[in-house]
Amino acid sequence: MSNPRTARVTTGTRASSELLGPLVRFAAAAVRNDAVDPLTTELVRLRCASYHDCHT
Amino acid sequence: MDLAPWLGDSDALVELDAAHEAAWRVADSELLALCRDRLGMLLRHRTTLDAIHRARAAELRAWATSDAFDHRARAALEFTEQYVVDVAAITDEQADAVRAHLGDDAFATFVNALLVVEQRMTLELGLAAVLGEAAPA
Repeated sequence: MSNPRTARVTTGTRASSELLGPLVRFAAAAVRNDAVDPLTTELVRLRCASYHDCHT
Repeated sequence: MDLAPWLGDSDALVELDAAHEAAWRVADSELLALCRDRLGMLLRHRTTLDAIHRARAAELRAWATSDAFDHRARAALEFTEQYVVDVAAITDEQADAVRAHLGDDAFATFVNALLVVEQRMTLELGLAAVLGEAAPA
């Protein structure tokens, strides 16, 4: 279980868009890649969710 | 490791390369290089390890007790180590320690840059470990 946390940066904080643009596009390209079988893909998705502390 | 044989048929590699190049342009490159070296040591990323001088590696290994690093570098190294061990368990104190030196926007940029550098290393390590060095047909 993750540590309870508070906001770590103030509202309006922005990382460099010069970096975020290709980073988001890389993630999208990885998601679009369908070369891996569905079971492995799901295992990776779940691992990524855990890694990113994602609960959606 | 050349990622092109594995990712060359998608636009993922183009974007990963672009993100990697941007990371070094927009983040504090000296601080990022320090953390890249420590990342490489912890992940045993051969290309990175081969580029680190032996004395530098010894210094980095002992950063917690060494006086060779200032408070800013130490905060970034502690953050980086926790990032590798368990990114979801980074504490508010560890994040605050880096943010206090960089400011909010630069802190957010630094974390994203660290992600890109680590992502590339683990991608290379993962592909080599799971698929071997042989390129796909």
